[in-house]
Amino acid sequence: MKRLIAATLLLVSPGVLAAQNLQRDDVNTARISASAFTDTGAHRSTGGLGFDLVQGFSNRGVLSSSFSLAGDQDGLHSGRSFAHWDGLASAQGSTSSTAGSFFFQPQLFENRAGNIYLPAVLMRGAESQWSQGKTSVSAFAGRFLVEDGSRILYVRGASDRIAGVTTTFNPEGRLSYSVQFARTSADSSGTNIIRSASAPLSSLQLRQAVQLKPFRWLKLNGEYSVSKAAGRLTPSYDASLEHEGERLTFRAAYVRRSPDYLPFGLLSFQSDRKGPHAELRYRLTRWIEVGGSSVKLRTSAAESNQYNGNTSFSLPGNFQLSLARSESRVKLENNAAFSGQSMLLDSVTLTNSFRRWLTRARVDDIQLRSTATSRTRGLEIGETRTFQNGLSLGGEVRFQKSNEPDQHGTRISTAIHGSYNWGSRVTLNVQTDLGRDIRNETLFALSNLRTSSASLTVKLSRSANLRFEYYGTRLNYELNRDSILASALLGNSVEPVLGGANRNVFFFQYQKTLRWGKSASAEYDKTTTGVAIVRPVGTVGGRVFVDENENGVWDEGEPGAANAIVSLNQLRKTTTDESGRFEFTAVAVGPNEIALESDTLSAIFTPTVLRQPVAVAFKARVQTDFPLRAASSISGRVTEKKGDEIIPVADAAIRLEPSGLYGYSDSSGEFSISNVPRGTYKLTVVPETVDHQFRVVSGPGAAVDVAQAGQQLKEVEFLLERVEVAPVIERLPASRIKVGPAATGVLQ
Amino acid sequence: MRWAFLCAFVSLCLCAGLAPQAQAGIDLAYQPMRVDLRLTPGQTQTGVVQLKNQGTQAIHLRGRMMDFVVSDDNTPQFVARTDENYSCRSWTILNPVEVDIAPDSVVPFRYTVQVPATLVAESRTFRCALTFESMPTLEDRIQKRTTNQVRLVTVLYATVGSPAATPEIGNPEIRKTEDAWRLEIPFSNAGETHYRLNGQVFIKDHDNHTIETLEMDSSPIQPATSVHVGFDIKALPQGEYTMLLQLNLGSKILEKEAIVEVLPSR
Repeated sequence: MKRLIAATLLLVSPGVLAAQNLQRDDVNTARISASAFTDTGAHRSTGGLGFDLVQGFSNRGVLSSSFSLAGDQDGLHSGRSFAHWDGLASAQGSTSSTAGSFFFQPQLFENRAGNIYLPAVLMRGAESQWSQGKTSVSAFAGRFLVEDGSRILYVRGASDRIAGVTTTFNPEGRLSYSVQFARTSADSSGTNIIRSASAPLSSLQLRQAVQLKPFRWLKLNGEYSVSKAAGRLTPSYDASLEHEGERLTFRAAYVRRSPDYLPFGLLSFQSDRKGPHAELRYRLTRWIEVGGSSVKLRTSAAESNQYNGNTSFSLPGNFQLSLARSESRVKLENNAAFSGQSMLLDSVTLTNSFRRWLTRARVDDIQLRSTATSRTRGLEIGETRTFQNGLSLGGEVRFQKSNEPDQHGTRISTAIHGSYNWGSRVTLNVQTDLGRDIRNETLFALSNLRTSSASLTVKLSRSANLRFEYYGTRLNYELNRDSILASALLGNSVEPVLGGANRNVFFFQYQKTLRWGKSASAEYDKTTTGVAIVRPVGTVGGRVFVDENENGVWDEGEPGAANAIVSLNQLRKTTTDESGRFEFTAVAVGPNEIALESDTLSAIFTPTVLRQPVAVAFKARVQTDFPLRAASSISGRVTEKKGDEIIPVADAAIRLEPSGLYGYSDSSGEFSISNVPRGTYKLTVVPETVDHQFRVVSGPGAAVDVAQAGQQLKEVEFLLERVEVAPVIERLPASRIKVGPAATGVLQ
Repeated sequence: MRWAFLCAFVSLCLCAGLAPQAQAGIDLAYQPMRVDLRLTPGQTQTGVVQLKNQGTQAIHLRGRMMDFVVSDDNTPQFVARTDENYSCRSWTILNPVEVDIAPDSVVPFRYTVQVPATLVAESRTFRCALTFESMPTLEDRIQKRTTNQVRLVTVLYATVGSPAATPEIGNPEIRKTEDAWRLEIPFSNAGETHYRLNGQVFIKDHDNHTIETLEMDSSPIQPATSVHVGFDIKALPQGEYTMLLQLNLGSKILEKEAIVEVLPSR
């Protein structure tokens, strides 16, 4: 229980984040936070105090430390605690060390062969890195804590011990080589550890990995390992070839893992498997794209084959037609009761984007064969409307007909995603899916995990923040139980990372930051290199593109905006490539914010949204795009006919109806209205802004059409003429003047 | 000092309307006042000028790209167009051009400078100005509410290549009226980039004691211009004086000395 709370507190306080993404501005700060955390799923409420200190030492490095205390019904507990030293990088190299409870990633490379990866694990111990020139050495020793990676952390107990050394040569170069030696020992008594195969009580691991990047567009990975356990030596190896281009993307890999391969407790299901994996996407023409994948994996107990193929046609009018087929087969050996199953899914999807509306219609046919056979046919219609500020509202309806009665019926789901800012003080992010989730389809599931999250941040002062977060998790499995079993055996973790029950989590935090010294000193710029602390992460990618049809989503052929800077939580920054794409890897799971720095965009574009909230799941990739509008404008001149002269009219307002946009003419009569959306408008001179009555002698006519994004309508001329209004004569009552002999005229 | 004032160009022009409403004050903050860019032919560079409405009333901002020149007395003038050979106005676009800005909110005006591939000179500093003029919103205008009008200017220097300034100092003159003495010094620049009037002017008596020190205001002397920069000085009794001007150009100090002979009053 204590461990559980301790690990939970790792995320209750922002200390981990601060240390992981250490920035120049964080140096010489102390952060004090008070938090309250209630989890209805775990029936637990915790109150905590966190303290983080980041102290810079001139010409030497930065020391960050984190400590927290928490209290609940079981008493007072110490939470996460670590100290991290990050030496300033110099020509002689750099050093960094960490001790305490922290996240650690002991793998050599992110190996994507066959979707096998080694996630970050929570370690209690120490880790140290040295780098000099093109060589870096990392030594680590500690005891792993078993965790489910997610924003809401779950620690289920202690696991294996590990100690080892990794040496990497030329890590950033074209050819990189790593060698790792580690000694592990498994905790066989751990009842909370996921093990699909028995792990050796102790093992020695020697791993070597090579990464070769002969060209910018091609990457080759290879790894060879030898494991020694129970007196036997077993090899493991894998190789992969990856290419990512504008038209062609492919990845091919082969993996073979021995049962003794890195048996780090919870990861042991990753071992004992072999097989090839390949996937490809190719754009044949501007209109046709094909893609497919094939995975064949075999363990000692099961064999799985998965094939996917799809073809997309881009049609006129922003229509897109996709045909897809996927087939999965699972076979269990030595199990008479369940010999195998297959699933065949065919679908036809038609999507259309119009302005900010995205419509999707799909028909599918799913055939599932296991202990029984079922066939389900469905029709799905979805509609999504995007708004400025990144807000989107969506809804889907699915009509389904099946020979299994409980699969029969209609499902409706809605989704709200977006954020709003009130001034610069209050920010609200909402990510919620309501109703039945019918979008997260997997080969083995028609419905899956459904989450809602909301966060509200109030900036109380320059140094104090108040934050409220809510996470709701609903599991609505209606899966074939055999599918879960077969999939889990093959390592495709169907079990959701957020745990196995419905949960509501409420989180409040008050945070105060104290600063001193020269926090912005440029010498701390390089201190983030070599930070060893990691934690459960995902990836956020997307593109900054010119939304030519102004529908809010990227369509084939819409150009990207290169060299735009995109930031993650205002901490990390990256620059878009030639096609406008960007990616942040190792993003902390949970709510994050991606922002586009508009001052890095050409002024010919206008961003429609500058901030996008994203909810990152463990090892997932979230796509978030920034549509730009090519700034259309209408400009011209307002003049007036005065006799034979034509003179400019200054300060007259020219209004564009029905948009409400307007501009004023300057002293030369010139006006300009920028950022005009596509559409047909009526352009008028507002009479109240001209100091006399006038009539329009000539103008742009009844309608002005901005047909294309980026259109510049110039020389829109208004010629006015003063209307001389005849004076109104008001006649007063007549009077009589009497002139007497001795009198002068008297007005009566 | 005058240049600094004019560069900020917060000229308050009261609208002389007769509307009965009380005039609302305008409080605008902006930055930067000056942008120095080093560019190459064909390069594109984007930046931002941020304006904050610190007042209590919504206003409309009218942005324009303008040229700026200096008059003979070194006063900056912002005009629609002038000598294209020294201007970056036509290369620069502004977005948005016109916008309403609510109280206590910030509007970023983005500008993008796209340097042409071929230029009139390989090395030169080109200049232009982003001007922002406050106007009443259309609703205020229709309702005939009056507001003050404010104009803000951000001066943009785009330097291509490695141009050099060629500072020249002419012969100073002293102009005397009944109640004021004024020292006027001609400066010119035959180079391709501006230089700044950093330094001091010392007026010394015949014993070489400094009787007055005048600080120059760091205003720029643009290429291909000649201006007269004036300083108010104390009245000088009859006698001979030395005026020493030290112009600090960073890498060197340019000195100019003149003998001032004050003759007896008639």
